[in-house]
Amino acid sequence: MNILENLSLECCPYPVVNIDSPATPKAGLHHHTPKLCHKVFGRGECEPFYRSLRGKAGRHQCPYGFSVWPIEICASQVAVTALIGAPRLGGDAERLRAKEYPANHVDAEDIPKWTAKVAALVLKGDAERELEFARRLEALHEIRRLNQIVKTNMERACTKQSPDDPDAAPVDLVRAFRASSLMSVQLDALDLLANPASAMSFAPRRWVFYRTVDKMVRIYRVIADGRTVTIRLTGSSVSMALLDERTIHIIPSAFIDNAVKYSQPGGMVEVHVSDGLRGNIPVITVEVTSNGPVATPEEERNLFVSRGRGKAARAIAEGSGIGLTLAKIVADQHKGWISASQRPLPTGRSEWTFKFQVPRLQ
Amino acid sequence: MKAALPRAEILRRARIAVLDDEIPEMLQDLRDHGLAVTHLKSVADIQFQALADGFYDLLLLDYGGIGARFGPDQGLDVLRYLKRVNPSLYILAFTARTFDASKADFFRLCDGVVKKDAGIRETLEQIEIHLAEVLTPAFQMQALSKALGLTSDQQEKLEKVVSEAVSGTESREEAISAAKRLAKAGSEKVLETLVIKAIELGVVYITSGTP
Repeated sequence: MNILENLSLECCPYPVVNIDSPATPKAGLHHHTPKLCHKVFGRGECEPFYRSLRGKAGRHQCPYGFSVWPIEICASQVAVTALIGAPRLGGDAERLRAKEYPANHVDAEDIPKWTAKVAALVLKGDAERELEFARRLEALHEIRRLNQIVKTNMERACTKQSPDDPDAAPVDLVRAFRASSLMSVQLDALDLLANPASAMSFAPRRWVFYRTVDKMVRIYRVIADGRTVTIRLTGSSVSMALLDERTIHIIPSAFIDNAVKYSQPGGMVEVHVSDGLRGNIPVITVEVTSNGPVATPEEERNLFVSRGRGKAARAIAEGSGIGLTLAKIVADQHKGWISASQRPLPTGRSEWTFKFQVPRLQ
Repeated sequence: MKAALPRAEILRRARIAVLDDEIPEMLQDLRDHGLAVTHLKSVADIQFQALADGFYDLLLLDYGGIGARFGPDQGLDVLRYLKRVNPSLYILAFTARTFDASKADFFRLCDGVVKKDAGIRETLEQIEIHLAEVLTPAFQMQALSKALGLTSDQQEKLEKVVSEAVSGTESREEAISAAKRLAKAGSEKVLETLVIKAIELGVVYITSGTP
């Protein structure tokens, strides 16, 4: 149920029951839940009655004589209930309820009118929200398009100066080139955040994981240089794994980004890639080791949970804390293993190792 | 005959098309690196038929703005059409929006993804990796068999005829005729193109000593 649906039901003037999981009616803003409902709901007649309303429209009478209107607000199926509508439907039970609950009398025409008005507002709100979302995506796309022009031109300039290795071109050129590469990576993460459902789709291809890690190391050198932090890539692996090219870079990117962010000036970030075994399963492992702030055991447990940054980490650097959450999503998508561990250092900081393992193709 | 051809041979033989309503930023860079790349603005382009006929080995396909001749989903509908008429065409999704949930099928059905902002070197690298897979007799034979709707027995027969054409004991025309006799489906044009491609790649394998 989205926020607008929720809001409309919270502001409903009448008592309501969720048809999918019937319970004692929830009081409305103007009309309260009759005491009788609390008393009789547990007897077993009410629940099947509400469930029988699924897919129905119009006005019905509950086993205890109240008028009930099954209504639909977008995806929510609820029943407006516990009212005595005029004109009456008839019957002894209804006559009794009318006497017992004079405050719950309503004009029967009011309910469909209220429902139609609210449903239209929710639909309109949803449409506006979707439009706004589409506008943001469009803006993101435009930024990406412009960045693509910058990146291609800077890469051209670097290649012209140093045809064999663009990263060996004059440092300012490389910085501009890699900064635009970094922007592409960050835009990927934003894209994934804007479309979380796409993380559920997995389009794996055979790919050498080392290439992805190497690319990320080159990109993050720009930021690391600015902070006088050294990034060193060691180990080697030419092994392939089934990787989703759209997402896999997010894992080394989040690891290295964090390591650089929390390192002290002059610090070192060690990135190591290797082939090995996890139990009997052949895997490719990437480990990123660096010094960073100490986290409490609870903070350590929550590192990969949404925005699970520790107190010490928040004090040191800005950030949303979403990077590791995304990394976990991508690790799960690849049926890989992601973990973090810290070793306290005498300096009052910790040596952190972030590790990701993905099944290796043989 | 699954091993990749030497890089120079891949660059020499590969025919690449880009179907995108905008001129790709790095089009000239790809050409400068020795790749034969044709840019098609939409499905209305005169070269589009060549994609269906098997002339190209690899297509970089954008999702939107390329024309709705094959359906409202543009890139996805074009992808489905081309995969049906010419299974030998390797199609890479070429788009900036890699996480759009509404395009999940597009990404799933493509043979790979090249992001528009991947950069020159990375794009080249990816294209070459995919081409190395496509430009092998094994890939072409498999695609041919799929295009013609052959059974495994028929595939074996066709492989034999193609092998004979590669070694020169049979003519190319003979191999094409044999393929036509076996074919249950597919266009003649695609059949001829794919048989010739398979034979030529086989010849390159033998002469270059590729395992």
